[in-house]
Amino acid sequence: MYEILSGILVDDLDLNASDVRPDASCEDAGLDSLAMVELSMILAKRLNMQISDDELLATKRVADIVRMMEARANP
Amino acid sequence: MRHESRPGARGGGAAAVLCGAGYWLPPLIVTNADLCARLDTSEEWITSRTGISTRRRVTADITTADLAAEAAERALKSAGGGEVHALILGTTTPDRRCPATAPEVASRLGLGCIPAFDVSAVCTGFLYALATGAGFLAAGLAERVMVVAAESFSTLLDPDDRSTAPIFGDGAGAVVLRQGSPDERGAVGDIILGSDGTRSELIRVGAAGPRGPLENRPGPGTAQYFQMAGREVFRHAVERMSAAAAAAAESAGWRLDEVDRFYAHQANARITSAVANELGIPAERLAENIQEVGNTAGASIPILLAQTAASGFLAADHRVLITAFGGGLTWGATTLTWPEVEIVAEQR
Repeated sequence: MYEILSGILVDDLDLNASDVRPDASCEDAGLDSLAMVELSMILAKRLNMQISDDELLATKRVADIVRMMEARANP
Repeated sequence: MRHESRPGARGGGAAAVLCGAGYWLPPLIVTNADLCARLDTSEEWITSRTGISTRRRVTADITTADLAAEAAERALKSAGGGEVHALILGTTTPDRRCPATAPEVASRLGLGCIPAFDVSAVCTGFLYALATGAGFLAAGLAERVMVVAAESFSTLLDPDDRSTAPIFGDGAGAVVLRQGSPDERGAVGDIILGSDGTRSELIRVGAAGPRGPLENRPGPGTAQYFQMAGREVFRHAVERMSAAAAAAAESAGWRLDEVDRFYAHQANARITSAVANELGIPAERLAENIQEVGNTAGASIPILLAQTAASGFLAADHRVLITAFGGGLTWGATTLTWPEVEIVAEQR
């Protein structure tokens, strides 16, 4: 799941690959509020995964988003 | 329930053919550093969130009518002069709440007592005005129409609101349309338009207009200023512009990879890039000027068309896909194959 997320962050959201690591804070990875909206939209459209931008904004690290994606993929 | 305008609504009437274009920007340049002197923000924050480095702003001696008249004059020159039988002005920032600004613009251009009126659809204003102008031509009400979009959006802004003050700039763009046939260069394709009034609160000015009575113009942070729910607007803008643009391209019989130049309302560089990604349109086909002029609201599309035609980025025979989104909510899209037109480059 981390590979899917990092692919979206780097290829679609144009974040720096070197900043995107599981232990990176969302802020250090470049995930600001608008990026969270875009990520939420891509997850819904591409993976049929419903995670709101409010939920994404409540995460602290990239790994938290991965955990949330895993939970939503396997409810 | 009906959604959006019906493609093919032109019926048997004449097509609207673009035969001239022009733009004008007020001379005052406001940099991010200028804004940071007052706002609690940084140049890096503004650039990374919006893609904007500078924007043009009106000064006390320049109004929306001035911007519109300058742009329209250049569009008329680009069209080789001649008569125009109606003038339609898309604006959210008219000089007064009453009357409309368009008649004054028409008079100042020496166009005589032609029909002239304003259309208000915020950042989709140009496409709504374009559709209205095309309707005049199709209905036989005019043979040539001036469509202008002009905004002094800075007059709506709270100078202390870091979420809106850096985004908007002022300016005007205009095109001249003439009656023609749908298969010639410059013919405007089906125009997709839509609105959703259930979300009017996302982009709004609660109280009086910029030139309203002083007693209705209380201090900062009040309803007199423009307000926008950034994250929700981002989502709706990307979804609506992507869908409308795809529908307009389909209506024209174009695959998206056949689009040579893509013009999305210059709301925010991150929005235009997300829309282009969604449609699979490569970055090199995406027209942009937001870095230098900011979001000029309803005027952004015609300014961008005229600027890029003057610079050579947009050339004759290019297949052009246009989309916009704004308060209302409103949105729209259309297509045209760019014609051979001479554009007057910006004066300095």
